Order: sequence, then structure tokens, then C-alpha cells
Amino acid sequence: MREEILTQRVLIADDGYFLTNGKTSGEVATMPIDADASVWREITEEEKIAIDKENSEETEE
Amino acid sequence: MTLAEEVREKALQLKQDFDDVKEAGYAEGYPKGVVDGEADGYNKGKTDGYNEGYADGLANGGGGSQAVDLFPYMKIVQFDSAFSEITEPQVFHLEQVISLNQTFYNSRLFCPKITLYISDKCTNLQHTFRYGHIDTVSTIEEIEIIGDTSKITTYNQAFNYRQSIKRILGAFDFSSCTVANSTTAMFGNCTSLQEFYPVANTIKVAISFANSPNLIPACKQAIINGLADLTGQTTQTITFHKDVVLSEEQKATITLKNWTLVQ
Repeated sequence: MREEILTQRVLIADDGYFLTNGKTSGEVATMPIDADASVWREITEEEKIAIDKENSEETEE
Repeated sequence: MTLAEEVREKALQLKQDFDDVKEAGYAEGYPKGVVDGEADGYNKGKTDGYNEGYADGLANGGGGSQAVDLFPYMKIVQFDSAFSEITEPQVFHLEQVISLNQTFYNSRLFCPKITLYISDKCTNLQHTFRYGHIDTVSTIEEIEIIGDTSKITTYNQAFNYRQSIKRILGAFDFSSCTVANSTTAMFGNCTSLQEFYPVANTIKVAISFANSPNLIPACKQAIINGLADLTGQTTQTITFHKDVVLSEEQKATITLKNWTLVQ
């Protein structure tokens, strides 16, 4: 027998919205319970497209 | 003339006619065969003789330049967009190359597969196969990188915009990727991607497969296995396409390693 206690924080965007930390985006963010959730904010699809585009254009160091 | 005699006479005539036609056909065919055979033989002899003579001369000639494969000696390789003229699978030995920055940048790729042999000298796969924008023209499906990838410090946009690629094979070691943007948009717009296999426990910075809904089960697990345990360190993000199905156990593995799963 084994016991696993899973502690996760799950952020779910409202319908039609997405979550982003400025670098990546999605509808659901599943993170460790002690992770910093404040880095995530809700955005519209237009904002998501703009962020994804900006990250794709980001080039060399 | 009796019927029997009449039949016999006609049979003899038929045989004579046959023999005449045969002889006429032979008379016409033989000289043509001689001419055509001679021409074909001459041309083949000329071509084969030339090729053999050239090869021998090239191998034995002194003081002149020889056709030598220079790729193993190159340190940096970048191909012109004219690579699009090549349609056969390509293999390159680039064991001396230190940078594959923009090697196939903006090239339309119509060869089905490109194989690159590298060594631990290579540290840069930035923009290696990146296209300028979403690539709806290229047909390449498979890339394989064989060799030591442990010294590569950046895969920034390595395969960005390549929509046709299905398989990126090789053992991709991310041990030396420690900067945040070393994996940025590595698989941006890789909408056909099915297979990619990182070395286990080597990924330490955020990585995204957000545009790849078709990852096969073995690949999904390999990616999860590729995540380093970041317990006690800054949480990083692993992004999968929302249609990629992960089990609860896989999700738990991700968060237990101190990663945030984004879908």
C-alpha cells in the first residue's frame, strides 16, 4: 500500500479567456501548491495572440 | 487439278510467302540493328570510359585540387535558401561545427529528411531550422541530430514555424541550457510534431509544445521524464497543447518536480 498526497493549485481561466505569466499562456495552469500564483493573470484571446507573437519574435541573446 | 493437289500447291505458296516475308524483314532489320547497336555501343563506351578515366585521373592526379568532402572541417554552416532545390534525404557530418546558428534559416526544405552528425564542439542550435514565418510550403518531415548535445546552450527557435516536421529525432540534452530564452519558441508553430525525445532530467528552463497537438504517448512521457527536478528552485513552466491528454499521474509527476503545467 502506498499513500500519495498531491497538493496542487489549479488556475482555470474563465470561458473565452486565457492565463499567462507573460511568457506562455493557456486555459489551465496546474502548479505546485507553494508556487507563486501571482505571476499568472487572465487575458483575452487578442492579448494571448500578441504575447505568443512577441515570444516567437524574441530572438538571440 | 485435284483438291489434294490444289491444297498442296497453296500450302507451298504460303510457305514461300512466309519465307519471303521473313527474309525481307531480316534484310531490313539487320542493317538497322547494326547501326543502332553501333551507336548505342559507342555512346555507352564513350560515357563509361569518360567516367572511369575522370575518376582515375582525379584520384591519381598530383598538384591539382581534389574533390574532398569539406563538411567535416567546417566550424559554421549556413545554407542559402536555394537548398530548396534538393529533394533527396541529406546527411551532413558536422563534427567540427561549433555553431548551427541559422544553418537552414528561411530555407524551403523539400527533402524528406535531414540528418546532422555533430559532436560536443557544437554549442548553438539557435534558429537552426527556423523559417521566417509560418512555413506552409516545405515538405520535410524528419530531422535527426546524432551526437553529443550536452554542450548546446541554446535551442532558441530551433524549429520555429516548421509546420511539416513530424519527427525530431536524437537525444536532446538540455544540461547546458540555463538561460531563460534558450528554449524560447523552440517548437513554435510545429503543428505536425509527433516525436521529440529529450534526455531525462536535463530540462531546467521553461519549454513549450503549445502548438503541437499530435505528440505520441512515448514522446509525451519522454518530455515529462526530461524535466529536471526543480525542488527548492524557481518553478518553471511546461506548456502542452490543450488537446494533449495527460494522465493524473503524469500531471502529478510534473508538479512534484516543481513545474507548472500549462495547457
